[in-house]
Amino acid sequence: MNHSDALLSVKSINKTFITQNRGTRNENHAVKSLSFEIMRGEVFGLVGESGSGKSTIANLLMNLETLDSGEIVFDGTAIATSKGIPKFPYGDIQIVFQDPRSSLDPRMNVRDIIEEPLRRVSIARKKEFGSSSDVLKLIQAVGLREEHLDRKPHQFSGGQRQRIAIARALITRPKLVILDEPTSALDISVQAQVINLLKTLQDELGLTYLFISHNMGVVKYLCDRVGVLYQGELLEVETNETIFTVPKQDYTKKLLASVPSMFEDMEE
Amino acid sequence: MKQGIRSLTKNKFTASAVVVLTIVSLVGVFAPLLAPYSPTNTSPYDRLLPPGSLHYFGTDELGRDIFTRILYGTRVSVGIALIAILLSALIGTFIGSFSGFVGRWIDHVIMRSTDVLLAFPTLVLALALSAALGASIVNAALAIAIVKLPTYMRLSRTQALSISQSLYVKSAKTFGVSSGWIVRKHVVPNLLTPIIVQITLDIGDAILLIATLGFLGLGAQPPTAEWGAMISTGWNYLLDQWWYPTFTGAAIFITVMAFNILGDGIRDLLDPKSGE
Amino acid sequence: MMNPLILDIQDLSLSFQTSGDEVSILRNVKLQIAAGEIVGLVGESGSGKSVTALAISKLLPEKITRFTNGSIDFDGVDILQSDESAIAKLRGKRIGFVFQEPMTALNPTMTIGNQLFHVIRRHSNLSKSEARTKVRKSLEEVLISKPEIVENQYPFQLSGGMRQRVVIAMAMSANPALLIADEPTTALDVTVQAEILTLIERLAKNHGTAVLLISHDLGVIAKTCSRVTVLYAGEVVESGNVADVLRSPHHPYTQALIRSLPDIATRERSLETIMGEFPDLRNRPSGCIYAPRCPKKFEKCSQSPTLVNINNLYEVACWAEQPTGGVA
Repeated sequence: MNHSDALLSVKSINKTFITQNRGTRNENHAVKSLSFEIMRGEVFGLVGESGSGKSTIANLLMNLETLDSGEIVFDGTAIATSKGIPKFPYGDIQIVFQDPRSSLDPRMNVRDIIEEPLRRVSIARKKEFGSSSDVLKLIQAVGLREEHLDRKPHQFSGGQRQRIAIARALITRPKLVILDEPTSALDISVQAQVINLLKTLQDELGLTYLFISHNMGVVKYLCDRVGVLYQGELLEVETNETIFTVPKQDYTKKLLASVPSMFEDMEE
Repeated sequence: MKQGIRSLTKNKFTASAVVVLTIVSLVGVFAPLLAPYSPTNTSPYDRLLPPGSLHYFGTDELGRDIFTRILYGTRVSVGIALIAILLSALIGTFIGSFSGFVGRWIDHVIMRSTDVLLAFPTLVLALALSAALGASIVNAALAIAIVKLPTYMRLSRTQALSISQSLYVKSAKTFGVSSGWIVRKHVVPNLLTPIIVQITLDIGDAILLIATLGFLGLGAQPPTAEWGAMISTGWNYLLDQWWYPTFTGAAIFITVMAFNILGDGIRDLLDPKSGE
Repeated sequence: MMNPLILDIQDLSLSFQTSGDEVSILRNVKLQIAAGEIVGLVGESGSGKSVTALAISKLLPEKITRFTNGSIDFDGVDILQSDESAIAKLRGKRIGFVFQEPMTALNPTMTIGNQLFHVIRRHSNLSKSEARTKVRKSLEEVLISKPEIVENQYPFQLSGGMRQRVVIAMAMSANPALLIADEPTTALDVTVQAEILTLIERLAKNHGTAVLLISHDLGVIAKTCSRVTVLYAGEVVESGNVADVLRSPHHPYTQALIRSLPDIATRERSLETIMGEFPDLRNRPSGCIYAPRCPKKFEKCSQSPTLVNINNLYEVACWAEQPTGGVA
């Protein structure tokens, strides 16, 4: 794959959370001067444990939090600066969350859930792919059927709900899809199906993924490049081959060593 | 919805409650057609007659048919209770969910004012308001609506708070939809369930409150037939003319119980379904 | 097995009865753990692994649970025939529990030291001062670095990993014969996970405690357990040495599960998946429960396969895998 330019460029972003708790002021420097780029068409993995800042990064990218300093440039335009959001490209960046049980409104039917992102998208775009036949094509592309469109989330399994969430993310034909631990809440056998789906969709629709996960196996399988986060800092960014064979940072080595793999250490 | 009603009737208790309340509503609506007599015409020759074929529940001290007055009383006691609670729920939910969704100082101000209202025991507050506003059925309804307001404000605020922190609302924000849309499409529909349960439970309460106010001379004024007022006067005749307060008391008891059982049934029905 | 069995579950079948529906949760489950052994129980959601764990000490909701078959023998005690008071004596003292979320076991309003103290006193005859010393020692044993400080802290002040260490300390405080750990590290960070698993291993070895480790993560099982039982839809499909089961699984389900892991998959090819869907336990199909999804299915599979010993304690429930003429 020829990555010609950066789709997303994160430049020295900082975010600190300040909480007041009975007089004591707590500063949590969640993201520390972070910079990285995601190339068009690649799957960029971000691994980290709790406190690493990965959720904050996702929130910052999705305009759910504001930057303290630094800049985020998407497809050539600045979409986030410390002075606020010039204009967020709704529809171009979408996110799939970890928990399919709570990311879908239990009172809405599947069709409305999938169509919701189209509200904010420009009329021209909506006309281009907001038709009901498009929703149908999408639901089938994620492996579900037309009759599912009139049902409610609780009638589906976890894996199926995650597919609905994926369909919802794709309805606006985004350029970048952020996947925040998309398979961590799923069973192993279901995980494989969803991963295959994500891979297929990426190829067919030419998507770029930011894949946040702590599951090294999945990251190794899907991601082209991987960044390692630790306590708000990006310790290293390497290609898939490099990071899993010759990681440079001690933390990365520790992380990889900690993953209990059934193919290496076994009790005899 | 259809599935809901079916599951509601699975439980015998709830099913009987639904039947009772259907009867009560029909009675309230069709009272004039069902009542054999007029609720207000006095007939001194017929005073204090025991239950019989002419007067199913007997007559009161002014010769009015008690059965008729109970039927007409349904309109006041249940109807007004319904209106008062619905009013309270509507206003309370609106204010509370707004408060919960917006948060910050507005939330604080609104919640502290509910604290003020909650500091008073329900009955005392209802009495005070009723007396202050003047004894009339409208003012009684108003008093009850005000007294129940904090319940709905708090309930909807808590719900709105947890809903606005839910992952599906977070997702909606990433789509860039307006706050108005989020409140309409996500917050309110998910809010409704506990509110509906609360309404059903509160109606029973409100009926009792109106009856109490009526008993004390506040609320509905004579000659309007109202269950509480009927017990108030009937109470004095309990020993010799047992029928006078008893049937009315039974009417209150059955109706309030039915509402409570229905409320429990709805709560049980709507809660586990959303779980796994 | 050299050591005597501390847990012997034979042919255990149970179902849940809710208004109208009876759902068969476990069917003919066999599970044996010898003293000091670490045995893994692996399965996906709906496999019945947690239910099995709860059944051992009868922690399932009494009103809806129906034991329809089988027996549970814990160190000579017939669990299914014993009454609640007899079993209550076992819980915490002879059977220790560690669950996925430490906050389900910790009281948020009591200090760590206080909670441990009460647990220790409850299951022993130690005096107050002896118990206090033991509190300190227990915290040290689970490798909490500053026990004197942690003693006076509340659960919310500790990290997830620390809380789980405390829970483990509590579970081990009475020196139980069996420790049941249900997804003990699932909610924890990867680096902490490894430490906790090593801790469990070490403690079990030092105290001679048998461990039932339940997980959906094959890597966790591989690292810690010597034997493993694989559950699918409430039935045991395979059971044996961890190395044997994971390296060369015999049952099609286990094989498919391992093959679907991305860990050693080649990036260019898609992952192998298990076709079909999980069965409806309200109408448990006759015949092999996995047959509808099995690529090796043949006519005999319309009969329910029995768990057969194929070599040296390795058992599989699959007609395709049984030596020819496979009769139980």
